Amino acid sequence: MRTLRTLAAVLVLAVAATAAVAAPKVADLAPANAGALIETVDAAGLRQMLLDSRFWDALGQTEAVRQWRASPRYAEAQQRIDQFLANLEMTRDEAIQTYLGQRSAVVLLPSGDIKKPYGVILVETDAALAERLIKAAGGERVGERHGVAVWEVRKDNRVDRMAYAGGMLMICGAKANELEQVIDVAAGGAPSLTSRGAFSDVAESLPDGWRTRAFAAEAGPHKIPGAVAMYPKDHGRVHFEWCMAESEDLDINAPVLLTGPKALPASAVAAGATSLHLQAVWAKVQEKVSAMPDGAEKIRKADMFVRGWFPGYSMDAITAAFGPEAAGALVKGSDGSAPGLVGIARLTAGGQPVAKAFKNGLAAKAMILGALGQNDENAPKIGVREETYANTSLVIIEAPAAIEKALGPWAKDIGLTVAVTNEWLVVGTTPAGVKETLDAAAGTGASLAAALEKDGDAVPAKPVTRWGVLQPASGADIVLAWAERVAGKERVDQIKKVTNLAELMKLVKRIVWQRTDEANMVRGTADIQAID
Amino acid sequence: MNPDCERLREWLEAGPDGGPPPALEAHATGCETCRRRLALDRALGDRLGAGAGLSPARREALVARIAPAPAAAPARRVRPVRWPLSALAVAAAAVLAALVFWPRPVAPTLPTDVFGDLLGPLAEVTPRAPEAAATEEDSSPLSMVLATFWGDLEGPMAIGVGALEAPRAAAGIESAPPQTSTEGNRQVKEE
Repeated sequence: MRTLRTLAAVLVLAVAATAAVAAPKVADLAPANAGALIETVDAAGLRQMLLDSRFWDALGQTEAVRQWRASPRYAEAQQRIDQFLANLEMTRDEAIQTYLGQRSAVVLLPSGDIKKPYGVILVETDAALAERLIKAAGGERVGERHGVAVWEVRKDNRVDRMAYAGGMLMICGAKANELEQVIDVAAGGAPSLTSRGAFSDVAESLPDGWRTRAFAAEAGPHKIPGAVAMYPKDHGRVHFEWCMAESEDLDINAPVLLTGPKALPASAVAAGATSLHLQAVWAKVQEKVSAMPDGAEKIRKADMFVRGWFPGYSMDAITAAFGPEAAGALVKGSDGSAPGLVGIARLTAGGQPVAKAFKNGLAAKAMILGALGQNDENAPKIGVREETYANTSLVIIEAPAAIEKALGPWAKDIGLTVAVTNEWLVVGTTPAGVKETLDAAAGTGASLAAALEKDGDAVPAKPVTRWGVLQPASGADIVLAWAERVAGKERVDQIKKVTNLAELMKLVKRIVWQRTDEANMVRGTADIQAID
Repeated sequence: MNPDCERLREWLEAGPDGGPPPALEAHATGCETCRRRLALDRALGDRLGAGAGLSPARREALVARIAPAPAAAPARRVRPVRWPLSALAVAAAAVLAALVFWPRPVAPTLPTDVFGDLLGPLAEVTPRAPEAAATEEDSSPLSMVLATFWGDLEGPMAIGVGALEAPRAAAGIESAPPQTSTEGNRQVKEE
């Protein structure tokens, strides 16, 4: 019995070892100097998922795709695909399932021109199917490297090169020695991407179960290693996890348990919340500015400017009054009125008097400004009024003639509104938006967090650095109206025409993301929910 | 197979006098297979021309000897050759096998082209990788707030857009210009 058990264990281990050998990581085949590696598991399945989606239908209706389908290039492409499939003796679906039903990848290698890297396509298949594809393409064997046959297809002065090693069919346009670089890794023992610490740190630290994972050696404006992985879920949901090898200042970006989403109203079509460590921010500003030639003077001026908005309080008192979080939202307007921006800053235990000083100081400044302009016909007429709503005093500063003149009747509801509760300083561009926020914060009105939770999108239950939500489907018109005012109608119309942006936005119900800072890493998640 | 290779093969099979058309001649100089075919054809022609050439007198004598023969020969019943059935089957099978297994000429198709073709509309409308950030900084509070949140997504977005760019790079498709894709963006590599 013991012998049988031992034998079984050995067999299991052997099978496991064989499986491990048969399916090396794709990154094991990518050269260590790769600029990017994009891996996909079952691209054929992802394609089918996309084809079955309403997003695909909408994409087909875009101007860009319609024009492309009517172009000679489209006809040429179809002819080329048909010819290739005829040579392959497969239907399109069969070919895609056969060659893209397992793992596939694109490796980008440096070319000297950052905009035009060399690309190598990797397709997991067996040797017979690889040869079938090579033959169908009209490939001719032109040599070998490390015992791996190299094939070429020549057409119209262009050359594609192919090889099969490590269980992967490699395809690339022959621009330089990119195929050789990959073969050197697959069969020649050259260092692979997995030997590179940055790849392990960012890409391999993402949770398992991804369908597509992208690694970039120099991502974003800071040119740092980063990775993003995609996890499609049921019912039109797609989950993303990302990771950047970024070392941020944890004094400023220390994660906190955000309560802002519970204080913002359910009418928000876009919202964001962030950790706010004002004392650390002010210390950092002082440190940076003091290193400048006239740093001390600049710090003195900044100190005076900020204290001017909080009469009677020192900089230390001001920075200690707010935090550790702040949030903001774009809320829908009612009855065709302007949408409102609302910002809230959490108050510390002793923060309320400082916030009230800000509110009262603001009202005083507006009143003085209004009084100064009374005798000037060209000066905007400023009105300041106070209103009580839900036991909270609101200061509302309006300049209706000036705002409507600039933005039209659409902006009739705009008025800078400030309120201070026990927990929050609330500042908004419309009284309606601020009142909805006060209701949500007090628990008497629908909050954004409750609306999201009802829909299965929970707000962060653990400390995070930032969190945000966009609800394009319900806010497309609002966002586009704002975009028109910010970027100009002509520009927005142009983008809408090409991408059918409004139509596509209406298909995305919600995007939720969050970011969490760690000592030497920034991690994040994002969830995209298509409309039902 | 290159269309010029095909045309040269057809020209050789037709067996016309003289050399091939200049375009095919030029093609053969750059194509190893066609150059060898043409050289072989010329060598055969030279050998046959020298060895099988007859003087006019010899030709006339031969024709004179051959010409009467059909008229003089008595009609003869030709006995049909009877092939064994098995031999016929083998021959048929051989022909069939040759038809099935004989390598057919395959018109070359660049796999990277097909890969690009399959990307289809996605390659047309997906955004291109962002250019370097604008140098002019907007220090208004709203811009700073937006920049903070945008900064969170900038890195991952750049990776995501880069991931969309990657297949295009591998397929030799230029990035779509920012506001239009109506003029087409496929450019061959020699450009």
